[in-house]
Amino acid sequence: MHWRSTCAVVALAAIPWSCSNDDSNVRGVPKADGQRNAKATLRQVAGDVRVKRAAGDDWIRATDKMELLANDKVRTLRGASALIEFVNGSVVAVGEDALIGIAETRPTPGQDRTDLTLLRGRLDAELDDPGKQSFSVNTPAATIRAGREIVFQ
Amino acid sequence: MIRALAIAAALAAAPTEVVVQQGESLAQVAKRALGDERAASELKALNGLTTDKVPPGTTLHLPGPARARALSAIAAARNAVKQAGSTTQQREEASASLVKAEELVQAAQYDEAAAAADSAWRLVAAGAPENTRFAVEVKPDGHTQVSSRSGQPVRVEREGLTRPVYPGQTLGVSKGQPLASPQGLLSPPVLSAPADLVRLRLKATEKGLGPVILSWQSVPGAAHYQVEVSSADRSAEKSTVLNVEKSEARISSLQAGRYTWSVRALGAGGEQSDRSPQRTFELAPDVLKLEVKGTNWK
Repeated sequence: MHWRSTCAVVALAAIPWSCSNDDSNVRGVPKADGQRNAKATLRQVAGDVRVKRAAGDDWIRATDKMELLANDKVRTLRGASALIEFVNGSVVAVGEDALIGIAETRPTPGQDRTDLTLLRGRLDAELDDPGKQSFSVNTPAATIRAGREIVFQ
Repeated sequence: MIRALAIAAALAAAPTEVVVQQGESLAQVAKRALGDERAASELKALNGLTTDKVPPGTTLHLPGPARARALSAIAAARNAVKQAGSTTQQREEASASLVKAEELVQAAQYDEAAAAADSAWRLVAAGAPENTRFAVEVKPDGHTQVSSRSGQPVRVEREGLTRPVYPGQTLGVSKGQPLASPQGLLSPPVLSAPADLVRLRLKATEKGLGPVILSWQSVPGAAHYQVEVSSADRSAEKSTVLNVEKSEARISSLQAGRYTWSVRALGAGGEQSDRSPQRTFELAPDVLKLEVKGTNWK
């Protein structure tokens, strides 16, 4: 109900693409563009989890199976959590009070790469095929890389 | 800015040399400068000495950051070899590489030692079937804590410097501070008392029931503990968070009701363990027992 109010406001603000894009995700039927650019899918959404689309200004309530695109942001409030399943198979569990961004990544030949920005809170990541997958997390203090290209330096 | 300059000055002032004092042996110099008297052989190799007797006033070169990297890689490899079991030939090869790495450290060949330790680690850990798992936590001030759980090491980068963090290790990074060496991961505390789902009958105080005493087993390497107690009946109520140094917390009083509690171990460098599994207890007032004796009164 809350989301529909937001959608109406956005529609009145004459940004129909943003509204219809969210609509397709909430209904689990992403548009062709969203499907092609989807980086990940939200799973096991528990508690108050919000998503801010790259093209939008509002934090919308996250739902199970919602697709995430490059530059989308995900925020979990107190007591909330969610799983983010990336298209390359890597999985990130996001804890409460966290704020993350899905980074825009340039595809590298022969490499499934995932990039995240973690601004606050905690995430637990798992790569089931680190020989092929590459995963990086940018934070205000450092960059953390896992998977392929991990060599001792 | 001032902080950054102070750090830069501290880095610039990091000792690269040490002067032998009157009556000091090479082992004592190693203990004073490197914290380990066994590092005397490293000083000997690094400075091209042929004897352990060095005249007072002699200036000796000290190893750079490559030594810390080599020691960290050896520690991780040793841990991986220990956990690898005793069935594979790879384990024997890894043990041999580990011995070679330790010898190279003694000879002050730190980069070669790190490479040998890394090859030992790869033999027993990189081919392991388990997934690569790690955790990243960012505090409100931007401090980042990276903990490697299993599989391949993760790599932490900051301003052109890189540190591998191997499974079982954790590394904290703060803005404007140099990259430190990874530390051993703290294990979550094992809760002792009260037992899970127990009902505690406590005396009423002015503010509630108490005292409530929570205890757990000490965690090696922990500097202090963070205890979180939350009402299970009133979820909107703010949790009580206590920081204590001992493996016990005392809460003077709580309202009657059900509570959940858990404990996290914290290291001196900001590293922290996962939370212990939660336990629940119930608080009820201690009812006075009245004994009414019979009487002959009619």
